[in-house]
Amino acid sequence: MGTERLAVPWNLSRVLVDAAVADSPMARRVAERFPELPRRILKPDEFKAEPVCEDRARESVLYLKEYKGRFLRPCPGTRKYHCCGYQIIHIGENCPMDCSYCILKAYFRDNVLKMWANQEDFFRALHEAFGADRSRRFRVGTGEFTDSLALESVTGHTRDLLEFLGDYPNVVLELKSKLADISWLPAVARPDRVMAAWSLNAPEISGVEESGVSTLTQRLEAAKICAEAGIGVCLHFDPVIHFPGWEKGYAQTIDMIFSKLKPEQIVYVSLGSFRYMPELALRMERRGRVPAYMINEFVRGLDGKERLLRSLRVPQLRFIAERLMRFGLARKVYLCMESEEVWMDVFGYAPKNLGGLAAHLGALAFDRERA
Amino acid sequence: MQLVSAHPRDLDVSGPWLFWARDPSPELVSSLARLGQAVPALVDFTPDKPRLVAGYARTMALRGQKGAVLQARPVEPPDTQDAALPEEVRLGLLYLASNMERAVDESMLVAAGRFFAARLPLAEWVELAGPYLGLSPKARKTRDLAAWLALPERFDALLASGALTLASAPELARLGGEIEVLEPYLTAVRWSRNSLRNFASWLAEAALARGIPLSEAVADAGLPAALLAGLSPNDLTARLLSGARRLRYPRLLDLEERFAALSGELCRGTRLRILPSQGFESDAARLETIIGNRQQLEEILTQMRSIAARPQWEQLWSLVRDAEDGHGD
Repeated sequence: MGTERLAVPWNLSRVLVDAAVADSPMARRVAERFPELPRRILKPDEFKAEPVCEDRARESVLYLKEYKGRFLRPCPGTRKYHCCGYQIIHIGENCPMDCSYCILKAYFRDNVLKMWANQEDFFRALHEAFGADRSRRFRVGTGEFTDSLALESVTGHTRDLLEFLGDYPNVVLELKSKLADISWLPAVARPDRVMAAWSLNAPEISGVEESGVSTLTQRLEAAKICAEAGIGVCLHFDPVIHFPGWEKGYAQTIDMIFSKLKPEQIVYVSLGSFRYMPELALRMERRGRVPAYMINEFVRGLDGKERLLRSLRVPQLRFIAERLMRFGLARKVYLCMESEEVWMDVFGYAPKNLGGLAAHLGALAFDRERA
Repeated sequence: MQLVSAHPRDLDVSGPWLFWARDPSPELVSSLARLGQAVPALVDFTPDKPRLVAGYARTMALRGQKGAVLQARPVEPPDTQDAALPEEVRLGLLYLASNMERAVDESMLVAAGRFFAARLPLAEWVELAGPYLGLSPKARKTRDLAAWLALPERFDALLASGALTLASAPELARLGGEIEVLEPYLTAVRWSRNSLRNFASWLAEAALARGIPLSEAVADAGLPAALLAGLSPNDLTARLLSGARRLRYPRLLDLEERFAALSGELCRGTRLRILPSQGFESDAARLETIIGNRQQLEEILTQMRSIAARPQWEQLWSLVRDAEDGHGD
């Protein structure tokens, strides 16, 4: 590392560190990179009593935690809809960006940015899972409970993970983000076992409802660099939002994609219609800001989340899917958490016709040449 | 403290702290005439004119009795802790203390709230008067009351009449200046908290989604005509709610109505009922019946065979698909 001082990202105001991980590589790295950040070592269970302001604009706290839960877990999909079968490498919780639709706002009680700093336990758990049977393939990602790369410049966790996974060719890692951070690229040992993924949306949504993110152009520029380095690109239209003029907006983003990327550089694209837990609406109401797109015909879905009425969301999903497929992405487009009926109405086939969604996406992720 | 006699007509009974003042009941009048005044009133003997602090009904009843005097306990000068309080607030607290045993309904709560809120910030007066009113700083009732106090005072009469409940206050307050648009509907029927929340939020959201004023949404929902239709209160409530819901969820209601029509045709003459999936998320429908004995079971099986041949099933299963929004590519 050079002598140039890094600017503290995300307006971080202080760091809390569990005593058990105070000397971990991650904690040391954070202290070295940002010596000016106040740091407090917490005794066991002291975090619960730590006063933290709920408004991240006023106080942004990073908590390096000794995590005692499961580091590898299935995506929390419901059986009522088709889940893609991706597995989560759980690196931390919460996200410093502020997207109005973010489901994490309803998932987590506080706004503290948490990263699991007991990396020894973390890598041991991953080795036990990935190393037990090397013929078993794992499609995993870190972008479920946080943005994969939001805190990369602070903790360097992705580089550590990539170095670790270099020994596990049976694992393909998806890094999902809204940032154009590709600082981790030099740590990639096997480009065919890493996928760089970006969430995309219509420019009207990205520009207004997403905050602290890279622009769509920056994301796609980063995707292009990754693709040229042999890394597969995944794109996620999630959430697809119904707003006046959505056809034009999503068409514009799709055109942008193919101005930067070739279809063969894209591993897969997911479409997920905006859905939310009822708590999210209450939180937004309390914050005094219910976005206009939430005032639509939402119904309680089979998983207890509010979803756009099927007769509204299917034409939207079909429009986007057809446009993507027209650019040569046949069978690379899938729906996130939708029923067989919606699959049939959008594509004319169901996940079972692909051999099951998880198996299909696994094949796309591992066998890119054949895709 | 010694009691003092005063002529009831000499007292000033116009103090704003007498916010729960009510005329004496015939029972009180008769009791005072027969047994005399059992409980003294509370009076502030100022150099000018004595001011009644508590005991309005007794005072008014005694005013009607020739030659009657009022037994009163004089208000003591404030101690150092209360000396800093505005005088009217101090008298209001004495009034509350004197009425501690009265059951406080929502209308009384608002009357007390209006008195104190005009004189002190919410947090301060809730701390002082809350214990007498059953209010605590973080209680939902306190939040509801604070929201109600933001409404125009004329709405207090709707609370007193039972047309509205205090729990509806946050929803009403959210309407801001547009509350006047809904006023004729608020006065027309009695609203439960849930019904009012739905009614107000459906209309407000429909207006927002269409970019139109609330008054236009109300007209689009056909509500003015409903008011003039001479409906019973229950029917009027149902009509107002369905009008607002239709405006807010036009496609969903259209699906519900088409489903109801088709399932009605399918089940005509049978004891079967067909229900849609939750939120029309699935094409599949649920067939429902009640069977009490073997004979009924045989009947239902026959009925099921007969309705199986009816042509509406395919329409029922493709209802959502047929209702899809078109779009230009």
